[in-house]
Amino acid sequence: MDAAGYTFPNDLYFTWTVIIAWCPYLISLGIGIHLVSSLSYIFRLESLQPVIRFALVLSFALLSIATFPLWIQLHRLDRIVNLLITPNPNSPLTAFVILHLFYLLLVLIQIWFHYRSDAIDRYHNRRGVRKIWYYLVLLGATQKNQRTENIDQKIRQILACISLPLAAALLSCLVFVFAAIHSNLWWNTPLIFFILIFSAVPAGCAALSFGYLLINFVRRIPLKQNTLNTVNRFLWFSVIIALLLELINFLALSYDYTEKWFHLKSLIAGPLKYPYLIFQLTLCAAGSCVLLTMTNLLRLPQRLANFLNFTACFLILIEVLLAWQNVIIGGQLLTKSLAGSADFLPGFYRKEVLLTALVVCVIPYVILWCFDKIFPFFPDPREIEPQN
Amino acid sequence: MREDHSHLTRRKFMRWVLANAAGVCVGSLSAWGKFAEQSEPSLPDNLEEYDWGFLIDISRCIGCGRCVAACNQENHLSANHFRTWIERYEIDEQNRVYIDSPRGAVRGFLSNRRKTSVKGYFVPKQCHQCRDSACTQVCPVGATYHAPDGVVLIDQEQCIGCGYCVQACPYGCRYIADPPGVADKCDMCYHRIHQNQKPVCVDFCPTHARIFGNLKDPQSPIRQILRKRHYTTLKPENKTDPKCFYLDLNPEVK
Repeated sequence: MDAAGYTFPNDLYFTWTVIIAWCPYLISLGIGIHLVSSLSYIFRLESLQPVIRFALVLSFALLSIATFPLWIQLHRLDRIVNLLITPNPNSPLTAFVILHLFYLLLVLIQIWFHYRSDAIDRYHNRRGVRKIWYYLVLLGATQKNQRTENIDQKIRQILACISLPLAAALLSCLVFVFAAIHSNLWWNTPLIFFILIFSAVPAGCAALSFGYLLINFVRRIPLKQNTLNTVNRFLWFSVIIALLLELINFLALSYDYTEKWFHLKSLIAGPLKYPYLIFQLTLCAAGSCVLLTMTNLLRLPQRLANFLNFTACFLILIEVLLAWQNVIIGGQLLTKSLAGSADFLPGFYRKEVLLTALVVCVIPYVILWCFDKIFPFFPDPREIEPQN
Repeated sequence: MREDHSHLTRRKFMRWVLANAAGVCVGSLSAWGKFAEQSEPSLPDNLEEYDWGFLIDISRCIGCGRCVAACNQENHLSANHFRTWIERYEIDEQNRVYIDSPRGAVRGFLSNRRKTSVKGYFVPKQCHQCRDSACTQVCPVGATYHAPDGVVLIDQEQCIGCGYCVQACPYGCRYIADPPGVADKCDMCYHRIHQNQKPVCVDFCPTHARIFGNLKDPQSPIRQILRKRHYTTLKPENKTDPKCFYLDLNPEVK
């Protein structure tokens, strides 16, 4: 028996709108970028050293703004402190909020240890208010010698090791917020957990590569091609695995051939046809995969290869955003009555929708710019020799 | 007139003023006491002896919508959200199912039934007061909780309006009431049930399609019926252990 076109009366209004998708998106980007820096420390990848500072600061900028979309969505923002006063330990959302604070603190400590040496030099070369400012930033630890450098290096490695399980836990909590809801068939597919967790790696690599290429293009700083190639190789492998996971999820659902598949099939072939099948999977995921395969396998001119990599990174950034949008909005399109799908039209000027999403997207880059003004993450081009 | 006034001595005037002031004070205190009593009903100490449940006999429901209207009025609900609603199911010769619930059926079903339908029935719905409720599990601040008598309640002073419980509820019973921007749902008329009254939807049902009672009391009508007749719950695959039972429920109802 097929029933169509009915939605529960309380289900007519979307509880979570476009803005909510920005929270997991920014978290994915932040964690992905941070993972690149952590892995480079743990496996001593020297080729990634030039972008580590940039990676850490970019990661911090994205993570610090990541929960803002969630707060904007709250109807009673004035009671936000209840999350810390009376947390429910059974709720994935509580675990996510608390872990996010820990993770943010960890990244901040890592940044401090990376910039300590520079800050000490600046402290000794400055006078007046600036000297006091650097003294405060350094928390009074103004001595630097070989022994302190070695200790700093060890602490950086230990922090990188700690960050890996913490990143996995934070991502798991984030994905669990959606995947734990059994009532939503689209959030409860066999591999959704792995797909969403793994999407952080290509997202982070793409954001790092994209940001590095963009800054180098704008500032005309000589490019560390070896560093870029290493990040792009990571990106290529992770995109292939992410695409495979998505396809396996499809196969598993269709092979199960349960009632769930019939409802999801109508969703995918209906309202999600363009945003999911055409744009996310075909244009962005498969398109970026083809571009990265070309740049990694073929001997292309360097400028052309970099342009293709830049395009692929852009496509992946769009793909991950679309993935979260399609998960969150798509999940609500399939009504709980299982008798058809709802309509969703995002407004542009309303709270929680596109305009707010765009503002939230811009803020991390403002933080990044401010940080670069105080502590530049790339050396001044006048101080280094251009690379051949 | 002047002579009358001359009788009103200062002492008499003061006595008159004091007597009136005392009267106003006593009256106000009494009224305030009654108001306080009404706004915060005292709960019995033995709440653990209760486990409130609902039974809905689909064959008795005529879709009049009086329960929905009474609920909306009793709980001062907005026109867009419903603590209870009625769905109409119509099935035609080709086994196609048509479902509707115009404005939650607050005014019943005014339009005529489809001419092609061969079978039809009404299904009242509301919060299922699940024992293993998904909403209480996911609430990040613990604003949704199980009362000792088995009713799932919302602390409206604690709720942050994140909407996570709305997403988690498989039955679509929850919504964000705006204002005040917090989650809301059926609480079985909690302000009435411990005053020896039934939920308002039960009281207003003209056909007694809704039966309410204590599941821990073996002599309660709900337990008597559940013991004798075949019943089922909605979406049992979610393992939420709901306490809203249905008699004569058809498989197409989700």
